[in-house]
Amino acid sequence: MQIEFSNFSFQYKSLDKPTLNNINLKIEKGEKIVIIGASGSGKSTVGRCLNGLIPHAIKGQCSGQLHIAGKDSSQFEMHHYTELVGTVLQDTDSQFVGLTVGEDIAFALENQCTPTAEMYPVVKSTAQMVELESLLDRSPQELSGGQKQRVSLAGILVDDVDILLFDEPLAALDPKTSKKTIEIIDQLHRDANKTIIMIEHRLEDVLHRDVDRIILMADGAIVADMTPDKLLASSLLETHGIREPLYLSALKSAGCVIDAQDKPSNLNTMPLEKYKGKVLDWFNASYIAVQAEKQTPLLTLSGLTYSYNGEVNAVDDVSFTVNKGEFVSILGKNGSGKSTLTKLIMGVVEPDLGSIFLNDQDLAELSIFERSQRVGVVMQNPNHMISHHMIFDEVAFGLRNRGLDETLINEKVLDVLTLCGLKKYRNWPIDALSYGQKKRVTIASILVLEPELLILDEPTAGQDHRSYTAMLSFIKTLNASLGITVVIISHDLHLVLEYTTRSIVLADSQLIADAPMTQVFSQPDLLAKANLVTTSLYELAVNLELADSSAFMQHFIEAEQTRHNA
Amino acid sequence: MKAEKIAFGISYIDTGSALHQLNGITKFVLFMAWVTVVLTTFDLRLIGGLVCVGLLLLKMTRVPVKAYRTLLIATASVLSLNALFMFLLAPQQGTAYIGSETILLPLGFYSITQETLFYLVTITLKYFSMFPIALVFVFTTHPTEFSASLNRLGVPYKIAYAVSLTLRYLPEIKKDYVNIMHAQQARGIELSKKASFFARLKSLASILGPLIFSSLDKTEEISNAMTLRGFGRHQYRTWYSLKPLAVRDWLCLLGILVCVSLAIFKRVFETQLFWYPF
Repeated sequence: MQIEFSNFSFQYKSLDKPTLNNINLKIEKGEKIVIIGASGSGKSTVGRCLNGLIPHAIKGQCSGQLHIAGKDSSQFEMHHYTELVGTVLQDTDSQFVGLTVGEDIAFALENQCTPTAEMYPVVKSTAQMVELESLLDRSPQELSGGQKQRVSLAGILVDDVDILLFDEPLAALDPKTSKKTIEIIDQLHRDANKTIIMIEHRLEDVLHRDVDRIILMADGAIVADMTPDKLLASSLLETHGIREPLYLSALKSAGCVIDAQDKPSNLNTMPLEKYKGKVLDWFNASYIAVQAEKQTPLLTLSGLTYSYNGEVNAVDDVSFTVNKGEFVSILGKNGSGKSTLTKLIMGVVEPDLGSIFLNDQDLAELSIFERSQRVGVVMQNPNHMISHHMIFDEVAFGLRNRGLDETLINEKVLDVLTLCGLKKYRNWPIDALSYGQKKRVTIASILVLEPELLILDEPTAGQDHRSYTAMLSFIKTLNASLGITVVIISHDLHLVLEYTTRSIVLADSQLIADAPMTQVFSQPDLLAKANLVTTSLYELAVNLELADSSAFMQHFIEAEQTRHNA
Repeated sequence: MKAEKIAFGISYIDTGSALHQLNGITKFVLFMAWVTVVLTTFDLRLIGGLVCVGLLLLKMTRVPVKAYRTLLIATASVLSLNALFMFLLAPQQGTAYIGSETILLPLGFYSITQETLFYLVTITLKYFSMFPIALVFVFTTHPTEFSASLNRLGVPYKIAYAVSLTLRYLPEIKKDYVNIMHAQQARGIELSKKASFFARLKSLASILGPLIFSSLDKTEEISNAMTLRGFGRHQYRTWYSLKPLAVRDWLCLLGILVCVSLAIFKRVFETQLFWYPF
């Protein structure tokens, strides 16, 4: 037995309730385990208990026992943990402490006083394991998200630990890199026979390679500990707010009953013939082509070009139109020019060439503040936007800058807080809110200005499925009832698939596609250029030999929406 | 305030020059020795020599002049301004030090004397002579190598590592700062010259608040990440980027030792603090 929790409970010093409640869990050597659960389910706390941050860096009350490698961990010093468990953290920037790749990989060796001359061969061979040998002299700023994560991985592999712990390894990665990461982890599992524990809520991505068991957590307790096939065949995921793989949602919508015997954890080996009849009936029954409505352009970008350094264009001759009332997504990998585009629209940087029109107004004639009254931008990190202590003041800030009367401000702020479901918190300090709630506050502070266009940068980052569904449904309502045009910038495929009707794809600073979302997602080659992948919905359509995969996706989305509204 | 387009910063630039090959310890000792020599002397011949050698070394780094031209001009201007103020506050200082008076332009209390001019030129060049070598040090020493050298020279490793951590996360903080600034500008914070000085100061606070909080969050995560990888476990640590001293380093160190000894010897035995040929 490599890891054994027995009747283990933990309560953080700052909280009044235990976060982990009587956990019993056994993990054998060489197993590959995924721990899933909504935010606040205690899954990250389990990770912290395994790597020793609890109790050594984070204080609280422990009870029960945790044995690692047969030894009682209550006797452990911090270094006993680090010799057994290697942790890859969610935020790869925080984990990358060295100034070059080589240096960062060597960090653990340095701390163990390994002589400098002995470090070089170890660092080199470890770098080879994760394909970094040619990047040893690079600085972290020159690396992509996936490369940084491989550096983190190499940084713990130099130590030759038996247990590898991954805390939300996919959170910051684009879909293609996520797949690659899962493949690398799988390879380590098989070739180096490491025990793998992954904490993640993107279940479908994790299941890209086989896992032995899934531990489902809710409210500090383990509610399921079973094979992926059994879990997927059950209804536990839906009950606990975890998104199930898209192909299973589609099959279930079509009325198919999924059996654990069919090995639903892998689409490619599932006996789809069995389900084909039902799916076709479902698909053919109600599919109606969507009528194109008459559209009025709201935002028009033409020939937009911008370069940060005068050598390479960050945005290169980009033109597109967003129509009134649309829900559009902008896709592309990191560094493809998405953020620069937002900055250009906000007016914090000025285009080298080209123009941006909102209705018939040239935005170049407006100041940053004037633009912000009409185009609201919600940034990815709410902590970057929030500058006040109280929620009410934060939301009222933009209106006060506009110089409105205080009674009018009061009225408008209360309206918007009600709309965002934050009214009861209006006199709360912002520190007391969760990440998702803070995000809501930032949206409220933008909505209160009544913009015509709302731009959301990675709205789902750092949120679990339940809170993000709640937030996006809310934005969808705004879009439908108030007629606010919404643009989201994201590489979360589920989000894009479910909510947006049209996708604009950027790759290497240029626009490579501007088409209905379902069409974009039916073109694997196009998606690959933007580091995106096809969804399993598309693969399901292909495996079922459906001719019109685009229409199939459209049908699924409509079915899902009907179900949500019901 | 629009985001500026920046091409170069004052930081380590690897051009592979001979100076880059030298050990971090050697360069750090050179820098400290240089400062010591400058502090001991008021001899314009020596100071002039140091300025020339410093500029020569700067050229040897092969870093394009473009990268530091603005800073060079700015420093020179500030030092000139400094000289002007020194003259305004104490116009007769030079005469007092040197002990003679040769009036060039009689203006009563503010009479310009040859001694004062000479004194001001010496002082200004004295300060300026430290500048090229500081740039050489920054351009040619990799920050972690610097930390490793500090540790090697006796500074506790936790403090030495803080130096390289600061440099590691400075770009991240800068990125956060720009993001926060953009967010606040969009919400009506005026940072351009249109706003009054006081208003801009207040606006700056609304950027620094979020910046400090987000940096503090980050600090905790980084410190956890470092603990997990065994930082602080032992009294000592080794350094991946610490190179052993080569023959050329020992030669340089020997040269530095000789020069510093000579400078101190000169200071102890010279009769007049100021070298004044007239």
